[in-house]
Amino acid sequence: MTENEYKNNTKTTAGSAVPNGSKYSEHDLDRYRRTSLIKLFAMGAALILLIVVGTISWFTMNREVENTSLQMTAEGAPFTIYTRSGSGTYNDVYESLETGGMEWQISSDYNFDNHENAKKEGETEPGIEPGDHGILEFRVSPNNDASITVDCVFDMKAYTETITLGANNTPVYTVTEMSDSSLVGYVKAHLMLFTGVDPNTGKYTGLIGNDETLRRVLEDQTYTRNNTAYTKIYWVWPEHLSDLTSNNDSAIIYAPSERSAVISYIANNKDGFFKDCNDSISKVSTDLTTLASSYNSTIYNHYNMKYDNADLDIGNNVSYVLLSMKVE
Amino acid sequence: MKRSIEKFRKLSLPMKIQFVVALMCTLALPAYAWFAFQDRIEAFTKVKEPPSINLASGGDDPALYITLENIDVSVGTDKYIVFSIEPGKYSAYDIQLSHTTNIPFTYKLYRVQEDANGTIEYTDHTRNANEETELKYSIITTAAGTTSGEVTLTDINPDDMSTGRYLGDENDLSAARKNYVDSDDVNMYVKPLYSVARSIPQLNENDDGSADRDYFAIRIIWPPGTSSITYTDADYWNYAFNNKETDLIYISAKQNSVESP
Repeated sequence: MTENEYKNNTKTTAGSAVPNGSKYSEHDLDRYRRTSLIKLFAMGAALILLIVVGTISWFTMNREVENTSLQMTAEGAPFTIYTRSGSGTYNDVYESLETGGMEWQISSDYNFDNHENAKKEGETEPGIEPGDHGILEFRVSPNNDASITVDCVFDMKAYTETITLGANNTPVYTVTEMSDSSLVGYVKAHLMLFTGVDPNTGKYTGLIGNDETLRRVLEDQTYTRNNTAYTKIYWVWPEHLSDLTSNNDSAIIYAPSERSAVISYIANNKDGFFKDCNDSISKVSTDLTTLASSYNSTIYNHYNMKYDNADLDIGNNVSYVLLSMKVE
Repeated sequence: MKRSIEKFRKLSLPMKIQFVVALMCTLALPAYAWFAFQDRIEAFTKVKEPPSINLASGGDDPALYITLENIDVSVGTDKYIVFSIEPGKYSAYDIQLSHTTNIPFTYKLYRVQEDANGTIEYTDHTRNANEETELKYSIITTAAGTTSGEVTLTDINPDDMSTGRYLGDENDLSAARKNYVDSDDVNMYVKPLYSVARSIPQLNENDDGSADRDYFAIRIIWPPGTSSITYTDADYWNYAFNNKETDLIYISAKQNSVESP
């Protein structure tokens, strides 16, 4: 019964809210109003709950929430990462891993040796090995502001592939992430990242080193909304230790100005660069500095063997590697 | 607003459901966009197996077919055993021979190549399916780093006259330790000889840096007087009392590319 129905049913005499002979009393009317009010509040509460649930994702995703007077404004996704438009050769395997990341798409020129064109002569499938190098590209586009400054954090994971026999003796390939910290350490260290190449000498510049928390970070990169230029990341897996330590500037793969940064990076990551390296960081640093000034076969062989053994361990145990870049 | 509500009330039940679903979709899409917001990109690739160096037999055969069978010292004075190295991407490698010294053979190493006019024979089991193929090899007399095709093996633990050590020489040992002198006893103190040839350059390099096989032949020599151990008794090899019939040869190859430091 609505209030109108109620009123229509209760033609009252003047001065009295309760009609003579009416089936509803003033008490009933009060009760009806109270009930209506409760219903209204309940609906309001339900609506508020719905709105809160509906917007909870907004609040969880936002890093910046402004409160201006009584109006609350929330910003949208702060940026979008753009890569090239092609999928890698091993995308099916990657998708099956469900890492939660987005595929770093590639092109024939810019890839992680995961493009058909990265195959060398006589090879049936692309892939990386010591001595390989290439370029990956990405750009960040701010969604809300004209420009945005971000840190790009790089990390690597190693995966191993095991083959078991499934139904009808068909092989079943299982790719699992490796937890062996030594192996993952070798992968992280031996795949080095640079931000540029000297156009005159072709040597790498701008080593992407570790920050104080030992993450590989490219700090404070500013991107503007309408700039469509890609940022290039030069990855390289040095084949020989001498590519990094030679005293001959023409024999190293990076610009001589990077030498101290590279030596300090190797020393700080000695357990990744060298297998079973019991020397202290300062000893490694001193030895590599010695090698950088003049070749010493005893020192070189000591580290070269450990470097090659780490490479061998990667090759013998790791099936796939994943290079991730998180923008934050 | 009132009219909208009226309109909604007039809708039939299926249409009401449709309307609510449409409304939910409208609300859900932006929410989904948030959850799908990505701040991490990942590149995924395969790691190739490390380059390897393989030993193989002659022809197209795998190492399984390397054999020292059928050495008859009463026929001829030497025998060639063909084997090969698959150097992969390595430009140079070491070959090490180690052998027991039960029988006082002399071992030499030569670079050889397939040659229809060659004199070194090898029976291939792989080139033609289910069929043996007789192949001939000849010594590459012009091969770099060789002396007329012979790869110089340097003994790592040579016989040393100054210390009185004659490896494999029974005369140097007491009678009780001589091979088969007393029933089937063998000389348990004879040590194997190790010889190595270092940095042998790979031939037949392919465009991609990998090479097919480099062929070698081990020459086993037994004429009296020219063996590493000099025997005055010319009949030594021929008499049945020489019942020493087992020796082992180990062939190993190792990458040794010249690397500029």
